[in-house]
Amino acid sequence: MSQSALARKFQLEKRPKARASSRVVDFIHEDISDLDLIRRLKMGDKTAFSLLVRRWQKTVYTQCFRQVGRKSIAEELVQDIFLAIYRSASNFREEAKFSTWLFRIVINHCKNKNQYGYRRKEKFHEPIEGSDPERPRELAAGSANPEELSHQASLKAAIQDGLANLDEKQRCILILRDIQGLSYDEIAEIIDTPKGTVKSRIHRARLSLAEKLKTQITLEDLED
Amino acid sequence: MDPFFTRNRMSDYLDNSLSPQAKRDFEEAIANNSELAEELQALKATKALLKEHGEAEPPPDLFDSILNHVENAKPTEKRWLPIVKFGLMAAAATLAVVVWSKQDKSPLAEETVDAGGVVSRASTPNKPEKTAQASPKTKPSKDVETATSQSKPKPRSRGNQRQVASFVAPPVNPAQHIKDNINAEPIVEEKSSLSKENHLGDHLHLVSNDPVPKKKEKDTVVEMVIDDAVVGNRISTNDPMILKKIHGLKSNYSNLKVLKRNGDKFQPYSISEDEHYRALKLIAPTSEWADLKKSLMAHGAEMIKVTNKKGQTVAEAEIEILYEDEP
Repeated sequence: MSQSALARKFQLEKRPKARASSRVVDFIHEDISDLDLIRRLKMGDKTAFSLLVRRWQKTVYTQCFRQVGRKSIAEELVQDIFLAIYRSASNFREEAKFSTWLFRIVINHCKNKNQYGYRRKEKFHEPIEGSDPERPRELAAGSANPEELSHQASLKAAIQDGLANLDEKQRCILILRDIQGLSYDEIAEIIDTPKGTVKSRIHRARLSLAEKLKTQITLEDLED
Repeated sequence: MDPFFTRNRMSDYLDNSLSPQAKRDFEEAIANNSELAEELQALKATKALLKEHGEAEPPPDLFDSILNHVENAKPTEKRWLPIVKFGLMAAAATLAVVVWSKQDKSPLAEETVDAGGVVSRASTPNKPEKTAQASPKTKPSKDVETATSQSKPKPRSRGNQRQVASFVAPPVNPAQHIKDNINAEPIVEEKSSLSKENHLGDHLHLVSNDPVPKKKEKDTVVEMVIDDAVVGNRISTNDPMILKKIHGLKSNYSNLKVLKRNGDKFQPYSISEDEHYRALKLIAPTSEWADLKKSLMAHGAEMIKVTNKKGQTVAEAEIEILYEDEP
């Protein structure tokens, strides 16, 4: 589709105050696909980029946080990842899905960060929330029952602790499958690995995680 | 169904990727084994836990911080630019060294160096005469610096001469210097002696820290152990056709499961991918795994054991076709 046709389709217009009106923009462009947004970004439309950020920030943040284990580092990573997307949008050749391309960037950034941390002998993964007296346990908002909040927080912390103890490849693939909900085919394409290997790794990762979670959470907790 | 296979199909069952028949077999096996049922329950709960509580809530200001980061980011330098810069610097340094070394060895350069002040002009009485011979137009009465500048097509500045001289800072006794150079062994000979003794190869091998040296592959004998699933006896065999196939094809080793024997049972052997690959490399150095699997399955093989010539087991692996029969 030509640029002029795209412009007609979406009635492109410059939005200098994109952030202020982002909710409205979200509402208006709810049905625009990622592919259309990235095409608009290639044409220099910053609004399309802000829409992409709004649409994908939670997914990207989840992947980063669960992989590196530190909120501050995850935030930095998310910023760098979206900067990379902004700068390299023209390199997206539309041969794969946008999400595949995005997850590849995310995983490469996380891998680089982990390797950098390994070289510097940093321990990225934070201890279980609540176990450190200086860092109070973060409770999810919106729930009235304190016991329930505490229970949920401990489950989230146990997940993070369990994931931190997994091998990096297993962790990455397990997050993609069981948290992000991607299919085996999508994961195989993202990490450029045969589907059978993906299945085997996920199975091993689940076994390891289940084994680790057993020591922290009772089966009843898991079944709740 | 064998507990081992049942255990390995748990994830497939949870992902609902088993065929109806395989699913029925699996459920039947689980119903008859409480230990496996408990394992399945734990896996199911883990998967549900990740789905329910795995998502992380981003900080509320993340959106703004991303846009700020993008807006305030400096324009990127081309990726190749630092490499080019480094290359140019390295080339310049190499050129400088080459120029310097040539000047140091050639009679003309030696005179320049001397003239630059390493050795005093008065202390090398023979040099001006040499220079005078090399360039007949030069007057013998002139000092070295003048003679050098006249002998060159492009006269150098004084600054350059001093700089070159500074590279050769230690004052040298010319006679001793020549003597040393005559007695010294040429560098080329040293290199050739190294390559003859294959020092480089040995060094690389040590650095690689690979516990399975490549030489051993030649000594490795592959022995297949065919499993009779009903009786449970394991019969050792050396089938030359299969061995040929194992060695003759290429492999990507994608779907091999390595197990560790523990008494009568087999347990998943938790090894890193490198070890996995290494073990397989011993078994099938250049095999196409998919073809290999088919040929092994046709012979009912479930187990591969690798022994050396002394009969000691080097590696042992059970082949499991995890996803072959699934839709």
